[in-house]
Amino acid sequence: MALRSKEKHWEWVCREVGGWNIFARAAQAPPPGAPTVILVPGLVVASGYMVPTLERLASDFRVFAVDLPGYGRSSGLRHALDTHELADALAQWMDSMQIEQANLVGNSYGCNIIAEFAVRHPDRLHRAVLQGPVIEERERGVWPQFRRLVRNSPFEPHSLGLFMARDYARAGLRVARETIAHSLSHPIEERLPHIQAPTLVVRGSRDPIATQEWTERVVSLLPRGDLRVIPGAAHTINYAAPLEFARVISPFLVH
Amino acid sequence: MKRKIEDCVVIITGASSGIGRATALMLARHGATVVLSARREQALRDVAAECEQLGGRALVIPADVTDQEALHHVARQAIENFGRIDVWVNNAAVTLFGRLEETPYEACRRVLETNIFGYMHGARAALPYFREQGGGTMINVSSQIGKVGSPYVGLYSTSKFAVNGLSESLRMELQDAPGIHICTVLAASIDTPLFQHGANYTGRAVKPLDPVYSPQQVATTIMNLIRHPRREVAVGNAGRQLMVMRTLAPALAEKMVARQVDRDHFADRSAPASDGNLFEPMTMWNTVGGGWQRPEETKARKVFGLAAAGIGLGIAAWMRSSRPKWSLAGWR
Repeated sequence: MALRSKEKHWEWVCREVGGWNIFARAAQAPPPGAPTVILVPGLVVASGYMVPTLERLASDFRVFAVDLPGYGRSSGLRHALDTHELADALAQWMDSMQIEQANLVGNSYGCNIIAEFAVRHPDRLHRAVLQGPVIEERERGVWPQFRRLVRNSPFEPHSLGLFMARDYARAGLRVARETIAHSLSHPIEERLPHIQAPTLVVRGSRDPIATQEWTERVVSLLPRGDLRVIPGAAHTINYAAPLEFARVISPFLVH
Repeated sequence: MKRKIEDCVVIITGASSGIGRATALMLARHGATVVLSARREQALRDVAAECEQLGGRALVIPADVTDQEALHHVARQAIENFGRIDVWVNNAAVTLFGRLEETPYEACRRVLETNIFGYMHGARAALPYFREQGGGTMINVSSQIGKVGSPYVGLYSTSKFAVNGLSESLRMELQDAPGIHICTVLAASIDTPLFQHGANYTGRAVKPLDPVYSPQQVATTIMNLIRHPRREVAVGNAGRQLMVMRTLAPALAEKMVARQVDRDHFADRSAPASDGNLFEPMTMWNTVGGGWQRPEETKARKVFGLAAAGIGLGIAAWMRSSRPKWSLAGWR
């Protein structure tokens, strides 16, 4: 259950953006002319748990997994950024990397950031993948979410807990608490109808957090949305079932 | 990795009727995701609707198994939708009745192409994904006349011998991939529309050889194989006995089968020559059962079986009681 695999297929890149140092993992030796894919991690966690998906996608795409300001190696903020501030930070980081337009793939709260990004910077988003989007309106409370998180945990690999513990520790308790508050107040259903980019919503059949009913509603709110359900997977498909995830999203992303 | 049936993605060829349809419905009842393939799209849509009603997920991809590219497409679609193929059930098969020299050449070819090439195309479509996943189960629905020959259905028998050979060879080839399983199901006479679908050049109406077993029995076997893969499983005792007989006394077995098929495989009425569903699928007979199994007969067989078992147990008990009691003295 090591956090780092022995053989690394990616390297850190660091850019100074608006006074923050933003770190990102970049897949090595991207195929020339391949479309860019940026992996956006979820609540408080950083890019580490995106590595399995990053490695699966690396043969066909130019892939990055970014630690947004406040989290992972990019931590050190006194206060957490709001959802739209995180979306803007992502856009600024793309500027610094000279990425004009990209495909964004998000997990959980990463989907909220992508939705916000799509509304604020529509011309910079080519296609979006929302994996396990959150949070159902009637479940926007600390306790309902905590309950669902507990119900999800038996379906995830134990090593995910190590990632979460490390990332929460690095972000700090205050930033973590504020991020959770931001996530609970973000009205994703008001952003979804304005996403013009083709969007694929992916759900694990055993995900108790992003339920079938809710993801179907997310798809119905999207102007160009489509749904895929991966049998047997739970909330962090990007970490627990990267092969299935890559197989489902690659044909969508190459268009 | 072992998965529960409800987390499995199962592709079934020939899912529009018979064993394929029975298997799809049974898996759907357990919550599985089934990918249904056959030539008849409308029939598949009906099966898919039934599957979803039973609590499963279903995806319909029409394909003719004689076309390799069509089966690659089936596999790709399954992967793009669900990310994985846990089980591939090679099941689509056709048959013809007739003496070899009296059967049209094209019909002969068509049986071999569907039953042998179809399974080969399925294996070639699924195995690369199994390899990448490091696991997967391929279930080849074969027949007991793939172990013992049979007159008038010689090409069907030939194709099933080939399927058994293919399965066995693949098992050997995949010794290096312990997560991949190849299972063969040796079915006896099963109550499916195969006998209505079959081409017939004998001049007489056909019926399945007695005794006839239910398609659900085969479906249950397939589901058990998904849970616990085994190399070869026979469904139906009649053929199992025949296979033993063929090993012990091959010449006698041949004579017996030839006589029984002559006596039992045909009805007492004539039938015009027909290509059946060899070249074009039939619109009729897209059901699980073929109406061959008479319930009273099944019941009679059960009663007979129970009676035989009872007599056996009785004799064993009697022999035991008439023998001197176990004692240390008895060992001397």
